[in-house]
Amino acid sequence: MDTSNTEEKDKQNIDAQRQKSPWLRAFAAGLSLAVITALCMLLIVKSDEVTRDLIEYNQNEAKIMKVAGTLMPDVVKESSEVKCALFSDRRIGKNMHLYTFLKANSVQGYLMTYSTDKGYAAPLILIGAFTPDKTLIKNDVLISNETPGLGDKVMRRNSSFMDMFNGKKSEDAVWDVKKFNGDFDYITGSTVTSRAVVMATKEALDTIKDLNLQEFKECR
Amino acid sequence: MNIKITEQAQRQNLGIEAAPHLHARMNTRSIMLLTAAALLPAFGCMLFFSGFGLLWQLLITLTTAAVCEASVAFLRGQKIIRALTDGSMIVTCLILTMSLPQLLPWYLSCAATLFCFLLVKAAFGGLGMNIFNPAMAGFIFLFVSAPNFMFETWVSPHPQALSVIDAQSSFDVIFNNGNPTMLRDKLKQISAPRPDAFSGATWLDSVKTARKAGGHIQTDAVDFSSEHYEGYAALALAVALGGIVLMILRIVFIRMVLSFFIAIIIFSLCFHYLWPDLFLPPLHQLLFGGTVLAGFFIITDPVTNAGTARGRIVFAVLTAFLIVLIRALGSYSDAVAFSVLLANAAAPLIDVLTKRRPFGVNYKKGSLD
Amino acid sequence: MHTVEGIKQPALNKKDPLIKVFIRGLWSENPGLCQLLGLCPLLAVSNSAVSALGLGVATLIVVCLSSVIISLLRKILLREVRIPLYVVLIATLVTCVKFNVAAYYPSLYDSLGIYLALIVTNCIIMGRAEAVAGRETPLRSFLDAAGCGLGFVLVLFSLGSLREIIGNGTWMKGAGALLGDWAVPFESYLFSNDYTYLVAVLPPGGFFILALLIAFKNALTLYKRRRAENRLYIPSSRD
Repeated sequence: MDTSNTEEKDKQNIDAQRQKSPWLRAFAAGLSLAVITALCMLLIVKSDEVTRDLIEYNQNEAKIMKVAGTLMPDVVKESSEVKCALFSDRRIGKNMHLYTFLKANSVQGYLMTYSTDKGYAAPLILIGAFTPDKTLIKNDVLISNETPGLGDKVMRRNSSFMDMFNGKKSEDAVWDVKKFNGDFDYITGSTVTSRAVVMATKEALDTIKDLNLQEFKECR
Repeated sequence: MNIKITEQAQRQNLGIEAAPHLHARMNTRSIMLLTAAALLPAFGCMLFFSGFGLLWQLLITLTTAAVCEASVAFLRGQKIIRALTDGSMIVTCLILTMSLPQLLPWYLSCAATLFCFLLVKAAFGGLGMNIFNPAMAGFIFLFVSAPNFMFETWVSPHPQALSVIDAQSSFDVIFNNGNPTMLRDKLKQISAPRPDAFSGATWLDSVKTARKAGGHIQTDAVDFSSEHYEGYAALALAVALGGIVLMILRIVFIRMVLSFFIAIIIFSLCFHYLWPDLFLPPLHQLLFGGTVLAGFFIITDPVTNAGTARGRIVFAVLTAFLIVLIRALGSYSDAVAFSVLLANAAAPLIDVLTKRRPFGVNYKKGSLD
Repeated sequence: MHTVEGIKQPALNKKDPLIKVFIRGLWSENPGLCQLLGLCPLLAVSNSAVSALGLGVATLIVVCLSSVIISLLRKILLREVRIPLYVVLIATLVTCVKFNVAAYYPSLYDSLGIYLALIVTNCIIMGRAEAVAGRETPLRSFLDAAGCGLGFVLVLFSLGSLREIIGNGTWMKGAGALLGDWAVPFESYLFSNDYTYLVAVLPPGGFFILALLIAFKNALTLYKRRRAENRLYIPSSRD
């Protein structure tokens, strides 16, 4: 009884206040919102300062280093510097990256992303490690939207399908799947994806031979 | 027995009269058993062209289905014998068996049947209450869960399949983890060399691969009297035979079947004329991929299709359109199951949109005089 | 008890001991199985046990911190503007958590993707803020938030584990990257891909398995209730 009386009185007080000066109340509401938002923004800016460099490193260099570490660990061990170039080619797609691994200005190896639209679902982006004389060391799928269970079996984490590309050159083989009179195996049930990967790798091998590294933009 | 007579029912004079009642000759059990009997010629044809594995699959599905239905009836407090002897279990199992690959390992068929009866049928309320066709949903469950098995264990129809894939060899593959590829290769060895380059798992799969590879589909090379393709034609005829018998007995809705096939022919004619590289010609659409089975038996399932007569025609046309479209543009090589499920999802809406106006409602004043 | 704007109000559930406030969120009012809140991240992220655990812990941190802060500020917040203020506070917390995860756990950040930022819209946090944190003392708000957050983590982890085991045949794959090297022995490979059902890690499987979990919880609750009812009078009527 007593608490309900106090509660009623409180409510009445506040309602009275509200009716007396609605403009003052609205101003107070807006002001409190602005103050708290400003404080929160300060907090966000502060924490962004602390973590920004680390995040950028994680998103770019760490990822590339990790992929390079799985595809060409020896080259990574030898290299002291990595240069990144952004380019587009009709054969392998727009905005592809070429990473040059250098040691004292001599090239130890290349890492190039390449894409194809011959898969089931765009995008299908692969990444390949190449020796200084443009032979393929190893490659892997970076981003794929292929049918789960069928097409995504080409990825290295699901099967050893891509091992058959290790060390290949462009003129080494007929670059198609065995079903269409090529030299490469294909995964049962996902001929399309297997074939897309084979043909994309051929295009990558051809493209990297023709690349003129001086005329490319630096990556961000 | 309490019969709730709602106010609306009383207004429209839709109550039930008192006993004695005349029983209709057609009850659920007789309809289902007649449908199962009409499926038997198709089943026998498929058995001849695909080998003995089909019978083992039927055994597995029937046993699992019986266990499912019995346990669900027990949990619901219903009579178990009654649940087992109404023929809907047999029809669903037959359709599921005819859709799944013939040499599938037993645990996969078991899982598909469990999913089909427990999750798609029982969880929605049991007989007559399910929204989605259980056999098609079970097929999709397996297709999405184990796609590599679906490709490796499919037997292309061939007249000598029964001699190669006999009881013992199919038992080994299905129950003892045998290798299905050996059996399929054996079948390939005794058949004449194929004039076309197709060696995919199913014919539709080969077509899809060829299309993506940029080649023109050699549809002229399909000769339905050659031993490679006569299985498809014979199966279609057998299904049609059973279906026509059902149509004569008025179990299957004639308008629905007719509109389905006419729609498939019209859509595929138009699309094949406009984009011959993407879409197959009408004869191929009809004979490959289980279209005839869908037309006669799957879309006419009274539980899952639309309720109104006009709605059923819309349902059939929608399914036909989706089949033609998904076959050309889809990622998986099977289109019938997905189209049927999509149309099932649309069926309640189709009902609402094709509702008939009851007599005496919404007429202008004085127009009935 | 002072609620928002300092209004005196009899405390909700003031007879509930603190431990009951905590246990409530774990089982009887579990946000994932009972209140059915936050289902979008629940279904999207739970295709592996490790990412489910990661998102669950992130949500737990955000809900606890936001409940405590809102409870501390409750007397000075104005009623009309309390919801925008809750949103601003929660968004700030989520942004800070996101920066930290992106910096120190990059593999978890990649696997969570957009769902880390979507914690802002998770109804659990807003629900706890509005229902409890705006009205109760900081200690009770914290306990309530911790209970709900832990309940969510438990549901996420069990759903993620089930989906990963059925769909992939592995358990806790990637635990080493998330939790550190001590967790690497937990990564198990249970059976080969021949026996897995891929649909469990795809969206339909998430819906099915969550539905089965909810059904299981409802069955248990019903069983307990029936048993309690049966003890009260005999014979029990079976309807």
